[in-house]
Amino acid sequence: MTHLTPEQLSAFMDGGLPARENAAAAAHVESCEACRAALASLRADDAALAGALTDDPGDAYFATFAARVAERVAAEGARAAVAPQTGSAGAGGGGFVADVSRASAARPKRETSPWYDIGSWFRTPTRLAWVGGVATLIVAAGVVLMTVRESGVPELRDAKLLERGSQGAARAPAPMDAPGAGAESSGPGTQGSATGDEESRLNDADARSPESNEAARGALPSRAREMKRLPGGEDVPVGPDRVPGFAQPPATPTAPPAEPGQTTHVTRQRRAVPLAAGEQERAGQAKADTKDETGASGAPVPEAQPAPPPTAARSIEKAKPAAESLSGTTDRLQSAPSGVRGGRSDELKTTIDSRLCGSVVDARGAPVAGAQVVISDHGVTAITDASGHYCLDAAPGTHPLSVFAVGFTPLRKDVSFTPGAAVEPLVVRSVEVLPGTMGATRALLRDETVTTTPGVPDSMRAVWSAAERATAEAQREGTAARFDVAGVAWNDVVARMPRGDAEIEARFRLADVRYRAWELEPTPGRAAEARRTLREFIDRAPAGPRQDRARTMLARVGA
Amino acid sequence: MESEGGRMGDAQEVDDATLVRAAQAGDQRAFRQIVERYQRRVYRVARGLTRSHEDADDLAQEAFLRAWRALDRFRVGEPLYPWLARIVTNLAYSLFRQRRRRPETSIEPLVEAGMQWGVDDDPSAHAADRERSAYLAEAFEALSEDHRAILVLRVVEGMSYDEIARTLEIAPGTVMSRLSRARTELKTRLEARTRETR
Repeated sequence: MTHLTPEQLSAFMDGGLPARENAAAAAHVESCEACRAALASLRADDAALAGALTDDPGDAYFATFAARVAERVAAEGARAAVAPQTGSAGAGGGGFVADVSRASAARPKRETSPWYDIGSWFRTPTRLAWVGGVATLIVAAGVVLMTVRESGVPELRDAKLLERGSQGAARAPAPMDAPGAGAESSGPGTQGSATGDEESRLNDADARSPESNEAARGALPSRAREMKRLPGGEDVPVGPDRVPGFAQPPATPTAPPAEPGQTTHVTRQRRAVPLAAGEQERAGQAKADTKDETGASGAPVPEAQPAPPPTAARSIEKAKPAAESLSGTTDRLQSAPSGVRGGRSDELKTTIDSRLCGSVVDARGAPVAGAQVVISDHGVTAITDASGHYCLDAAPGTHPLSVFAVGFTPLRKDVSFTPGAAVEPLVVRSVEVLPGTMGATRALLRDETVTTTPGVPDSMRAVWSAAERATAEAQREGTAARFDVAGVAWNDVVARMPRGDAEIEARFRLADVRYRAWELEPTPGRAAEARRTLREFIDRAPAGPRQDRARTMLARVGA
Repeated sequence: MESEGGRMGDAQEVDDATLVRAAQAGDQRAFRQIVERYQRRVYRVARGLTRSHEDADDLAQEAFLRAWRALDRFRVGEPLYPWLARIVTNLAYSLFRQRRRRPETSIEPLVEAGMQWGVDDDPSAHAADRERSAYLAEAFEALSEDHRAILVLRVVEGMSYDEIARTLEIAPGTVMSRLSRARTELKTRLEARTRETR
């Protein structure tokens, strides 16, 4: 059978499919892992939405509500009681909304003219104002655009002049000024980008002016400002900041032999390799492989990096992230300041390089996977892996961390983070999903559904409550199809539940809904399901009234 | 609230039809019982749609008042709650229109959403303050009226497809497709929102 469409899946979850389709869908879902996952995800979404949208103003509010309405009713009661016989009572076809509410409350289908009816734009003052406003905006935008273009011209000219100036200066001290690598080397006069280089070569003939680089800078304030902004400071003038934008791509194919100055470039390269959260595991695996290399990696890896031979390149690429993540988790922070890189640029790197790693756990200490961890003052986000781990780029210091996870109350906590010291786990508390999300059916089904079940792990709460919900719906509707749906939900719970009291409880719920489905509309399939689940419950359950009940049920289905 | 004098015995479950008939005959106390019976649910629909207590309070009161006025045209035997829910839903719709809060159609939902979220000054600052459920509510509010209504009726109110069809005056098949689209759209928006904070 083909997979269910999103529409079918959604309707199946709601018990809204026609009976025949429902049976087929139930059968399919039973056998389809992906569909069950999709269904569970839909249920979780619904539960979350219900939680987000249900705000109860409290009993105090409702205690007086009816009285307030009654007051207003009484105010016009006389009139309403006398007058209404004018309309033909109850005769209005399927429409049960009176014209009173229809007149003002029913949705007017198309009272506005379509947008392309240009004439209508000028019919009312409001619209005219809108049209005028939009026109003004367009004109203003045009003016701004023109102004900007105009002012762009001198800048362009300045840029060209600078290129020429730097060209002249660069000739002498840095003749190895090859494209790509040249832009990265820390020698002076390399602020030209790759395209700038080309341009200056074209202008070579008339650019041989003897003016020095310094002179060029002085003459061109806009350029000079741009250069000073760069972090490299005095000894590493301006090149590095431009590197990531332009120079990197050409560097790989035709990089010339490395110069000592290029260590800077290499470390940047390393930094550019993103390290996904939860990479520690991989790093752990790679530990063995890289062990022999780490001794050498202090210097040679950076050396080799700029011009890797095509075949060797791959292996270096591989070794790199591994080594990276190794140091990232253990001793990156110590190695960074004491490393080869000198001075202030190092500090800068440290702030970016350091990673805050920790884990998210629930109240019982079990890891919470898929939680979103956010450092709000950096805007950095990570998702926890299966073992609840996360890693975030962050500077040492105190950061406000927020944790969001489905089924848990959002957590906000200031975490102080010192390199080398472990960050304590973030403990999230589970949300009270069970009673709050049922909406209208809640009151009706209070006794049936809201049995507090101790021992449901927090990670299972959403799934559990979804199943309870499905059961409640089934009880409300009283149809076999609904109980089938609830059965699928409980099946899901049972499949994922760690063994324990709650698991036995889930088995009972499963068996119960299976049994009820069979009871309402017996089919061989339902009988088989009821038998299987009842037996499984009986096997796991301790002796007691419940087990006896299950035996009775089993006997009825016919063992 | 007020003790129901003589019929204390079955006061527990006087059915809707009886109450409606009494109210239709002008019995305000019977109507009050109807209000008490359905006030939470009607309020919840209003609150879900407007996301504001004040609006929900207004709408819920107004809905009952209109129900009272229109009661004669209610056909006894029809389910009462979808009827009430329809009145309050329609009131919410007209409130939205009054305020011109959002475009009338649901075209370009994502573009619109992007624009809405784009004006947020700094997503990372917001990330700290807002909870996930706030994101969800935000994404929900950006949905079209129709999608919001159907989600409230189904997810918050737990109405059956049949009840929803009655409430919104649409075919049951439309309930199925619209609900599915609403869910998908909500999810898409939420994901877009989450990506943005990343």
